[in-house]
Amino acid sequence: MVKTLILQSNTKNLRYVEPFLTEIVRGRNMDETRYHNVVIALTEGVNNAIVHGNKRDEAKSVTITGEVIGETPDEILIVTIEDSGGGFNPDTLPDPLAPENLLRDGGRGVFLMRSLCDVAEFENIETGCRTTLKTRLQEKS
Amino acid sequence: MSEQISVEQQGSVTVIRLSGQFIGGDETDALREEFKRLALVEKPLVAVDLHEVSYLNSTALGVLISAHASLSKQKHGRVGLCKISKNIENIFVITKLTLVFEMFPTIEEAITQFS
Repeated sequence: MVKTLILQSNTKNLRYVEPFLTEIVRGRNMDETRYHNVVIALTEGVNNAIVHGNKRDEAKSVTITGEVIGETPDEILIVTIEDSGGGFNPDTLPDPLAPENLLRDGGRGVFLMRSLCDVAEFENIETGCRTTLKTRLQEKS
Repeated sequence: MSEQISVEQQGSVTVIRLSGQFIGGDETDALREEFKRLALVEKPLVAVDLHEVSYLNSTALGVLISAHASLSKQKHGRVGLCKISKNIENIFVITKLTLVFEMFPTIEEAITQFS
């Protein structure tokens, strides 16, 4: 079943991300490290949506959906994040691992989403931007 | 100050203990303010205890990097990260920030190195 969380565009609301994820995977056997990684990735996506997408405009909301599909041991967690912003091209972002960027205090969000999930996709849609994160609950055997 | 941040002085070293999630909310803003306060000191020596941190994302990484720049580079002090859990350490490894920060297994080791 798909669960939905709608947040006002205020970074105070990032605290609701982890409990939402807990609810989605409740009763399932998710690898602890994978869970930790997807929590971080999801906070990156929601933070980007609030700060860069909706420009912290509290009249605008961020919609997060989550579900688990498939059967044990191949269950996959799918989470989407939608904002009302103008979107962006993730392929034009500076490489945060380049020596000249290592000391920058920002610019790692998309990199972390891609690194911490099996799949991180970014689409510019009619109403804004949609980020989709997918990750297996367990390592592939 | 956020209840997720406690600060104590151990000799010449300021120990900042963090707990819970540092993911870009008020707690991360409070940490940024704490480092700004410390940047007023000459040669600040700071040990950050991350043992009780459950999640740390790129916004919090940015605050730590800014602290490194302002306290270590500009004020000739030192910022050490201590007692980092395996999951949190992974964030520093994949972002190559292990090349930037001094890391210590214990607070005591950071204090010894800094003193």
